[in-house]
Amino acid sequence: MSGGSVRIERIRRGAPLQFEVDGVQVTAFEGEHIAAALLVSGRMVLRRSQKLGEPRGLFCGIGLCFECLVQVEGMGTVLACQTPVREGMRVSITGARPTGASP
Amino acid sequence: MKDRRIVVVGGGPAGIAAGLEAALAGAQVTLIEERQDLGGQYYKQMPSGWTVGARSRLDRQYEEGRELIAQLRRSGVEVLTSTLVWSIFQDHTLALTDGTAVWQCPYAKLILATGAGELPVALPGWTLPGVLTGGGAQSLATGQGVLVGRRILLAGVGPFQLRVAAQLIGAGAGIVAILDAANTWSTARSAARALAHWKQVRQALDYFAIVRRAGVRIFRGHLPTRIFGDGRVERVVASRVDDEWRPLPGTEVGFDVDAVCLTFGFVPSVELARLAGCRLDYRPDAGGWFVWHEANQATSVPDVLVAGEAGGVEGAAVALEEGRLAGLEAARQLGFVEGRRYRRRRGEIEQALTRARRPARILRDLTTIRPGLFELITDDTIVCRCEDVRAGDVFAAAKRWEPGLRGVKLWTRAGMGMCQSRICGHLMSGLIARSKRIPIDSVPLDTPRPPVKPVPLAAMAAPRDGGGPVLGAWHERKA
Amino acid sequence: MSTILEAEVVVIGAGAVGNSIAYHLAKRGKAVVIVDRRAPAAEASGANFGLVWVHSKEPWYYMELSLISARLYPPLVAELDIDVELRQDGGLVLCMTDEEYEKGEAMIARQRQSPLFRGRMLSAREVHELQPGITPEIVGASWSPDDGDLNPIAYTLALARACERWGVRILPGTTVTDIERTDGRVTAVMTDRGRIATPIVVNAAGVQAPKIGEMVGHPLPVEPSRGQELITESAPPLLRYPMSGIRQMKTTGQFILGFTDEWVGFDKRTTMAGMTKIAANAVRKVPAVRHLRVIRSWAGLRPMPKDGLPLIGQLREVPGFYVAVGHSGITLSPMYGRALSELICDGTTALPIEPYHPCRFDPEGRIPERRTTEAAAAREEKR
Repeated sequence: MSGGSVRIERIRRGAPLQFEVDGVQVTAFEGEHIAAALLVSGRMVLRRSQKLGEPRGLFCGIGLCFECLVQVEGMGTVLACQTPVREGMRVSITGARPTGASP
Repeated sequence: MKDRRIVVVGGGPAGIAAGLEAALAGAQVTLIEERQDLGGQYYKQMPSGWTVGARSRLDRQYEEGRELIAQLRRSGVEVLTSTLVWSIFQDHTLALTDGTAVWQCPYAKLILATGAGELPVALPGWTLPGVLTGGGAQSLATGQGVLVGRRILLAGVGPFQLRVAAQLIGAGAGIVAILDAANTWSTARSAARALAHWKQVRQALDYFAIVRRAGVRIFRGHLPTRIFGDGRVERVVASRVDDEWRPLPGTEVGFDVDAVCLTFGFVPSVELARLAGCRLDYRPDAGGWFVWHEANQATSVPDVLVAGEAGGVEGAAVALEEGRLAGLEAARQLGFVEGRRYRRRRGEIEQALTRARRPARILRDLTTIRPGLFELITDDTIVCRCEDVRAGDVFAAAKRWEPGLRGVKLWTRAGMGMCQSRICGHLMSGLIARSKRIPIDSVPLDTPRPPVKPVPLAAMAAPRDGGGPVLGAWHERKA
Repeated sequence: MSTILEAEVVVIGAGAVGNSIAYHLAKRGKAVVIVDRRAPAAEASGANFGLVWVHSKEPWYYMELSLISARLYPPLVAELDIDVELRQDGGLVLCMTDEEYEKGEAMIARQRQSPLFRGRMLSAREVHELQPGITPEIVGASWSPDDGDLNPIAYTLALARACERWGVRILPGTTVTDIERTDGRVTAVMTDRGRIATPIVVNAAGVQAPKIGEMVGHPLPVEPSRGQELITESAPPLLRYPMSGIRQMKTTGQFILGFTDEWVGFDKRTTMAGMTKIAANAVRKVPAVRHLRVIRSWAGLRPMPKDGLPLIGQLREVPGFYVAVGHSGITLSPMYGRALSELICDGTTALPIEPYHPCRFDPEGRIPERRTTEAAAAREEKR
């Protein structure tokens, strides 16, 4: 299902750029962080929670809650809300793996 | 060490003001900001090179921030951005990282202006994608030019969420409704008292007018009680609540939405202060645990001062003045300013501070959280999002041998995840207090553990000697 | 002072050692009370590396004691109702230089004095076949199939819960103020909450054990050794076996990295020097961890006896006063439980605990001089 996130119109943004999300090309603008770019591309679910495998998305938006962890090639796991998107960046939001329960 | 440097941690209103004031007095100042840009959450700036087309009154805050940052740039204050202060291991030394290395930074005086985070409120369904803090949605709009949804429901208390609403509407968002937990009567009573502060009232009225013009309905005395959705938020059920914010049966009302913003207030960021050994104090209307300080912003630890929300949530206007006061005090203690010059300046700041505090007090009345809010949590509601721990498990653990956060942590792993209990800490304290029928401030906190935020091993493995900042330079590190 | 409880045995200390002893005693029908100034797993048992370690423990008879304890683990864990993440498939100590490898070889040769020993040296190639993710820089490793790891917090809490199931009373937040004796024999434990009448006391108080010993005129030669540790965020499974200083948790995929060995009294803070040293060690040996973030550091205090070996047994001049103290409390806890319950209930044990009598440091102690080991001498030097 497509998300309801949209870019606000009256802003002049940075230069357009292309990055890759699980093999799919997505357009974004220089200065945008990964979370914003993913949201407007209709991707609300950024990861699955560790034990229950629940869908999770952007929550605090200011780098405190660690819900928006995504995998970026060459960078490991990063906070999507704090990491600027770059031309050619390869992002994975399916890399998160649920693990077994522990006490 | 004969270092006479003042180090300010945090580049929001309080930190910028502290840095400016101390530099004005002639002190050597280093300001360290974790994020790429200065301004903090209040003066949230757009990425460099971006511009907003039409200006409105709402952009004033952004402009004010830009002006302050420009002043700081001219002031000779050394600024380190994209630099995290991740611990204080010993007296007068901070541990820093830029994500590639770690190094130590000495200080003669330390001003903690670490700000506040948003108060997370847990209720069934709050972990669904599309549920954000109001600040998160606002940040996305003002910092990134992105609206979180097309059919947004706002729920919270007080004027801050009106501001979020006005900003979102101004940006073209569709707001389904605004739920304000405070009832009409208490709002009216506080509003009457607020009339004495025309500037703030006018600002609030501005927001209100925008909301009204957009035809958004405000449901006073309402709280969301459950959020539904398959993989993402789709529907919210709310109820009318009583004065203690407990839902009244038979008053349910439903909303179809694609995003929910929860705006219930702020929690002081005290992690670094705790590592420094600063005494905390607890007051619900200050956001819970905050850094105790004297009238001159001195904390219980020598040479450590606090400014802004970390020392109790009172809003940006107060934070600015506290920052100035802390900057002035630190400079005086180092002998940069004294006598009449000092007294005159201190008098000016204190007057401004008193003025700024009056509306802040009323705002507090308007926004004080009532206990019913945390009773929305059911046994199967997740409270620790990192470790997927449900409230029922916390209740069970609280009955075990060790009361307090540590015991619950050991049993459930709640608070052991990436966010280092920033989100769940106060929720768990609340649950423990509830199950033991004790006041929340008598629930023992857990020992603070460095790093205050996660640090890459590669960086930690690369300690840099003498890699401290170079005075007089402006280092904007790009992440 | 009023008597609040009566017990057949009072165990002081609710760590893994104290809980194991109480559990074994309760299963033998004893009425046991555990007192702790804090709570189960509040100190070293909740702040250690989580190894169940055998092959590099010296001297060889101490390795044997560790091995006996390790073998007591599976049946004990089977009686617990929490998954304690026990793995006992083997473990390694990496050798980064020729010198380290030679030291390893010499250690393995010494351990072979015990017929039970199954450890050996591995070549670099063997290490890479056994354990993925290791730097190509290594020279080799020492290895034994008897080593393993577990979640020490889950284990200690599970033991405490098992104790309660068997009727043990656990009194957290209770500080021992004195040991009451009548005609030399123990008759009660005095606490800040009242008197607990008992003929038998077990001092399993970890780093606080000397303080308890002093109450009967017998300060024990035990000092705190600080061990700092780091934990990272979760990562996909990489390491198959735990190693000394680097292990990956079974359920969460987090790496636990250690450790330091510092003599700084009771200071439990972590330090810049300690953390960077641990991080550098991990990144050097397992380069893939470099992207992982450290989310927390902590330090625990090992109760380190003067000669590095545990103190197990009854004080000769204080009938009713038993001691069960030493580092490696997790590895040795099943053994402590078995040994102390047999000593208390039967007056003797088949476990080989003679070298560890707490009176061995006394001038007229009966432990032969040759038992003082090279490892202990090295430790002395470090101090």
